Parts: sequence; structure tokens; C-alpha cells
Amino acid sequence: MLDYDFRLAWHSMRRNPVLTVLMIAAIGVGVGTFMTALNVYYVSSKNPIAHKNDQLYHVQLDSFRMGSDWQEGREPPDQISYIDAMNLLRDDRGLRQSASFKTGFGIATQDYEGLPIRAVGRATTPDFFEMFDVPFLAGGTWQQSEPDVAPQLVILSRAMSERLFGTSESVGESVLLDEDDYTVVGVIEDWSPSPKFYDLTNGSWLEGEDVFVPFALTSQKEYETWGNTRCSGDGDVDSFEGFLQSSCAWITYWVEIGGTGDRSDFESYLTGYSEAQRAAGRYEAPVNYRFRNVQEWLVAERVASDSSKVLLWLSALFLMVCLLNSVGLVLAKFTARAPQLALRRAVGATRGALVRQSLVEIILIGVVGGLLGMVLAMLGLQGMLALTEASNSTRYEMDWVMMATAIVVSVIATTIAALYPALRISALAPARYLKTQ
Amino acid sequence: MLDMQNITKVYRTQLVETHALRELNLSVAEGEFVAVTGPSGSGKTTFLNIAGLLEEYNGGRYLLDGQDITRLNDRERSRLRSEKIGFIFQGFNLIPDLNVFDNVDVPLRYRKLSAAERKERIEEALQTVGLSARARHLPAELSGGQQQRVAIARALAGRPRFVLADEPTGNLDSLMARQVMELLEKINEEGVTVIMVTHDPELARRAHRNIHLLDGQVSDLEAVDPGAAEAVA
Repeated sequence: MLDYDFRLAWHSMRRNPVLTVLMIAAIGVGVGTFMTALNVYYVSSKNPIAHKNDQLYHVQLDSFRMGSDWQEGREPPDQISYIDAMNLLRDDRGLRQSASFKTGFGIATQDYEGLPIRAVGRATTPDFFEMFDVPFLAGGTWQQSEPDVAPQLVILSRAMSERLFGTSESVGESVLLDEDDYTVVGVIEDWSPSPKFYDLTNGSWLEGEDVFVPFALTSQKEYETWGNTRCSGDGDVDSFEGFLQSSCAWITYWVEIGGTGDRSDFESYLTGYSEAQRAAGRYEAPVNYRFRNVQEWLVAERVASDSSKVLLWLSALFLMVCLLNSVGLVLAKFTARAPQLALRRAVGATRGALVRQSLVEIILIGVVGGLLGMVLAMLGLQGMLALTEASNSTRYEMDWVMMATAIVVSVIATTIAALYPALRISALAPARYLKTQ
Repeated sequence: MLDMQNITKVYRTQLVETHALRELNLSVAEGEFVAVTGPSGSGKTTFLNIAGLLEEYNGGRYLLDGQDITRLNDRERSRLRSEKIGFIFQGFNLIPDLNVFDNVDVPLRYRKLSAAERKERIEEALQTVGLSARARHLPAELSGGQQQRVAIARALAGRPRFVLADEPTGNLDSLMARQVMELLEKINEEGVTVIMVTHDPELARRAHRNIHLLDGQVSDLEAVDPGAAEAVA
């Protein structure tokens, strides 16, 4: 019977092409707008490492002075100081730990004759790669037993390796970072989680780094931070050593624990650590820290911006307006064929059969409207791209989930829009239309 | 076969009540050819609609094949219409974008019949009305008489126990009207009960029995002499 309903739907769509096109257009525009907004919201709020959400925790410590505007429970700085990072690394709690900061170099090979390439890099601890599932193409990370002792090794991205050496097989090769000699110990696949959850403080949507160096060499090599730094009235930050010893917060710190069960243990540790630092005179404020898993950190940093939420609501309202218009169009379409439906009732169709026939037609229109909406959403996302930076180019893409969602949203929306007209038309007295035809 | 007892039907609007049928008592036996006549507004079409289960009634009792219609729900009424009743309308009521074959197929689609059985019934019905060669034509490509024959084929394809015809020749010229009437007689001869509403006294005289309605009531029951009918034809 369904195949018959599909045939009738096709006939009906062809009988009133203008109405059909208007309905498809109304639904397509509504769905397209909604899907554009939903995609922006989806991309900006998704957790790129959801499978480790309850294992990876971001650490914030309140090492700042209390000041006149101090309030209990204030949000600690997003990053921590070098001293705190080194202390936590030495205490070595949890399964793995990652202290890192954004940096950068002029990079070249030994026989490179041009100007060094400006490369964005990250100084980090070796656990970083395993914690965040960074995929290695060749080699691996460096080994170190002490947090402040590490060999002069570097990990390159595939793109950087190919740019420097023409191949991703560059393990063992020598590179110059700001004219200092490093040996390539590993090459990673181009890796750029979006949003860049592991360093939201320095650009949630920026691309991944091309060069990774040991955090342990920070003091020795005086790596400059290319990221944000927050200080709290520190005196001597003119020298690099003074900067390292200050309470300035510039290091992103992550911990991997066994699961939610270990969370309270680590929080107890942070409480104890904060109390000890306060007792030692380093911290002024009462114990105040944050220990957030990835999702909580994304929410706290408002990665899914308020504007994208507003856009989503507005587009949902617009979709509803389109649907209300569609209800009128559907009603007009169904009313036009009332005599035909009356005849079907007369020759044995039940009300249910007529409702089903009407809904099949509407679902068909919904699918076509959904496809149109999908195309419009793709165009909409291109428009969004044009409004954002070029570096965000990998963000807005209609993946298969979004495409399927567009069709499902369209079908559900059109079915809701058609339900009232379908029920109403199926309840009409057939005798009235049979006589008047 | 069809037994109406004290059937009343009132149409109500905010301003006025119209009594279409007033305690109508009427029976039709199996195999009869009954013509229902009467002036406009006498309740002929209302009677036919109630007989065909297309309309509710306000009071009385209606038995179809011994079954009390009042107690049936929508699904059961639909099944009864599908299996026992064939409709022929003055305006043909063909679906314009379906060809002849598919138009005749419409009632069969609501019965659990195989594709082969449907095809067999459609071909047989089209053969009966002499339109086998026009199976793939659209209604707009046929004359009025041919369209009404398609409507008759549609009514016959369901192999109904009785056919309800509402002014079946009202939109046709005399030649075509005669052809349609002959078809109805042929159907009746094969055992199908025919109830025909008509304004045309000549056609009415060809029925076995005339029922004259006036103000929603039977005003006269008249048995027609088949010999006289033939003389008229």
C-alpha cells in the first residue's frame, strides 16, 4: 500500500507544481537556516575528546594577590604559574600530567639557505601526546625522568617535516630552532582538534602546532611564550628568571586520572597543595582552585558562544514561521483535492488510509525540502566562513550527522505541519464533495 | 437487503433546521432495480448518501444485509462500502491524473487483493463497459459517456452487492444516456441490486420499481411494468 501512496504523492506533487515548489522552498529555507545555526552551535560546542572526558582534567590555581576587589570563590586564572607547574610535575599525581605553553621558533635545516620558517610551537611534557591521543606517524616522544631535565629533541608535524625535508620520515634528522640544534625524535600526523580544547586560553579555533619541544628546557633555553600571560602585581618580571619565579599565569596544565572516582583524591591533593602554598606565603587568597573535565572546561570558557545560542534560537523561530506558512500551503493543497479524497472515502478508504496518504506526500516534500535545506545550509556555512578568519576554515563542515539531521528535522517539521491539515481533510463529509464535483 | 426504518436526517445551521428525511421507511430487496425520483430538495441524494454510508442520520434504524449500521465504526463502514457498495455519480468523479486503468483500480486498492487479482478484475470491468482499448487513456481524453462508463467499471470492479447511482445520466446526451442505462440494466440482470436517483421519468420507468420522495418521505411506491419500460425505450 505504501508504494501506492508514494505513486499518488508523486502525482499530487506534479498536479500542483507551484504549491509543491512553494512548500519545498518554505521548508528548505527554514531548515537551511536552522541547520546553518545548528552546525555553528554543534561545531563550537562539541567535545573533540569526549571518550576521555572523565579522565582529562584542567587545573586552575589561585596564585594571585587578593587585591581590593577580591571576592571569595573568584574564578582563578585560566593558566598557572611556572613554579606551580613545576611543583605539580614534581609531585607527579594522577596517571599523566601535561604542562605546556604556546611558543614559536624560526625553524630551518642545517643546509637551509633562506630565511628560517616562522613556526608556531608548543613546549610541553612528554605525557601530552598520549593524554590527548596525538597520532604519531614516525618515532615517538622524548623520555625524561626529571621535570626539568630533557634532551634537546623536537617533534614535528607532518606538514613541517615535509616542508623541511620533503618527507614525513625525518626522525633522526637535525633542525635548527632559533639557530639551536635539535634532533627530530618524532613526526605526528597533522593534528588540529576543533575546538582546540587543550589550550582554549590562546584561541579556541586556531590550528594545531607544527613544533613540539620539551617543557623541561624552558628555563635553560628561555623559550618565549607566544600565548596569553596574566600577572598579579609581581615586582621583577624583567628578567626571564624573574618571570619564571613570578606568580604570572601562562602555563596550561592538564592531568589525566583513572576516572571520576579519582577526582576527589586529586581535589584533596590540590586543597593540600594550595594550603601549603598559602602557609609558605606564596598564595594570599584562601584555597581556591578549579579542576574541570574537558566538557566542563569548554562550558566554562564559553566556547559555544552566547551569540551562537541566540542564532540557534532565532533560526528555530524562523523555522517555525516557515512551518506555519507551510501549514497554510498544505491546507490549500489538501483542500484542493478534497473531492478526490471524498471519492476514495466513498469507495472504501478509511480515515487512517487518507491520513497516511497525505502524510506520505508531505514526508516526500519534507525529504526534498531537507535536501534543499542541506544545500542552503552548506551555502550558509560558506557565508559564515567568509565572515570568520581563514584559519577557521576547517570548522564549518556538514558532516554526515548534520546531513542526516537536516533530513530528519525537515521530515519531522513537515509532518508536524501537515498533521492538522491531514486530520482535518480526512474528516470532511465525503457526500458534500462528491455532489459538488 | 436494504431496510430503512423511520430514518430522519436534519441539517442544522445557526439560523435554520432543514429536515431532509422525515421518518423514512424504505426497503429494497436483493436483485431489484429501483428508481428514486422526486423534485429537488425532496431528499433523494440524502437518502442515497445514507444508503451508501456516506452520511450519518439523526434517528431511525438502517439495516444493510441484516447488519445494523448504527453500531459500526468508521473502519467497519469503510469495509462495508468497499466490499458491498458501488457508486456511480452524476459528475463521474474520476481522478484526472490517473489513467482509466488506475481509476478503476482505486476501490480495489483499499481491499487486500493481489496485484494479479486486481488486474483481472479491472480488465473484466473494462471489458463489461467496452473500454478495454482505452485503459491507458486519461479521463480528459474520453467523451462524457466514456467517462461515465469508466465510473461504472470502477463501481463494478469491486463486485458490489448493490450499486448506488446518483443521476448517472444527468451530464450525458440522450444517446450516451441510453448506453449507460443499458449498462445498468445489464449489471442488474447479473444479480446486482441497483438503486438509481433520477429526475428523468423515462429512465425511471425502466426500473422495476419507482420510489417517489417528497419532503423527505416516500410519497408513492410504484411497481413498473417491464413491458411498458421497453416500449418507452
